Amino acid sequence: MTNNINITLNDTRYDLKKGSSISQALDILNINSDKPKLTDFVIALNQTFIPRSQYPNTQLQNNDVIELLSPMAGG
Amino acid sequence: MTQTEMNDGLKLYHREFTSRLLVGTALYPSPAIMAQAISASGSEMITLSLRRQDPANNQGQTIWQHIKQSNCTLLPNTAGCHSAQEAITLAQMSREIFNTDFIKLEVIGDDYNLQPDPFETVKAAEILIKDGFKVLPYCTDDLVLCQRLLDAGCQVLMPWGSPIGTGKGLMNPYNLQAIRDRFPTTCLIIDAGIGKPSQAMAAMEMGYDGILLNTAIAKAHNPVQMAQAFAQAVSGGRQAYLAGLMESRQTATPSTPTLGTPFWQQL
Repeated sequence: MTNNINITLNDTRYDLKKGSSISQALDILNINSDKPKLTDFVIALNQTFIPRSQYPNTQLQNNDVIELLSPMAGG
Repeated sequence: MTQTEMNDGLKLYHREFTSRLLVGTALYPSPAIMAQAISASGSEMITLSLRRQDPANNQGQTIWQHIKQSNCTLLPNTAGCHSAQEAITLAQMSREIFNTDFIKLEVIGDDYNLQPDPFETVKAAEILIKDGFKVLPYCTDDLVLCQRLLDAGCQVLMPWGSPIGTGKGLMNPYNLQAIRDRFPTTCLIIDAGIGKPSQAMAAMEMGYDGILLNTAIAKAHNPVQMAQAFAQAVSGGRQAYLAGLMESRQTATPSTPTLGTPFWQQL
């Protein structure tokens, strides 16, 4: 039995510790490591909007899919 | 600003705006030109979107900084969504990050001409309105669809002039006039397809309340100058509508008085 789960964030797969919350996942992935940090973003988990206030309490499951979106030009 | 413009605001749900021109923020040669064009347009409401972003490529962040500095009211869109559920999720995400209930509802039904899906648009509008959103739906020039969107609680309708980015102008003036005539008190904005200031002016002369456009300004050789041209066209069209257009006639009628015409005896 593995202690890891596999999630997908914007089409990239990541291994995380079982029981990780969205907050922990963002810390670990550090949106993202050596790259500049995104400060303005929102998240949908499995196509459901997750308010920022719920990031610490939302536990990720194996095969979860996260969309992380930021402001962009639009018409 | 003329006296007429000061007393003739564009009302979108609870908010009133002086400018009747809404502009998009995409496709500009640079974020700086985008900012200058927005300023030149006089627009007080601008559209934007949410997308995945590579943190290493900060162009989205640069654009976002310029948008924030514009002090315009934000109108996030649901561009790219193909179902009511996708649009609802994106609207909820937009509400949190942009701190606004306004949403430009876009649910695409066909990728060839980017025609909105009427069924999914109505479905999404019903749910979003109940959730407290101020929905501005992008729709086709279909009278019955417009009625269904009003039934859903939309207070603003945004029928297309023609498909997004085509610049073909008012493709079906008859349908657009019918929508205007049928819903005389509803706020109607032409969204998409406007390519020239004259087309925006024609819509305003028809009695439309506003114009939303992006490509015609962003892809002009001089976007800032074109933004000014559209601002003047929208304002001029509105004033012409308020002034009341003459009725067209089939036969010529001299505008110069015929009484006292010289040389008439020689005819």
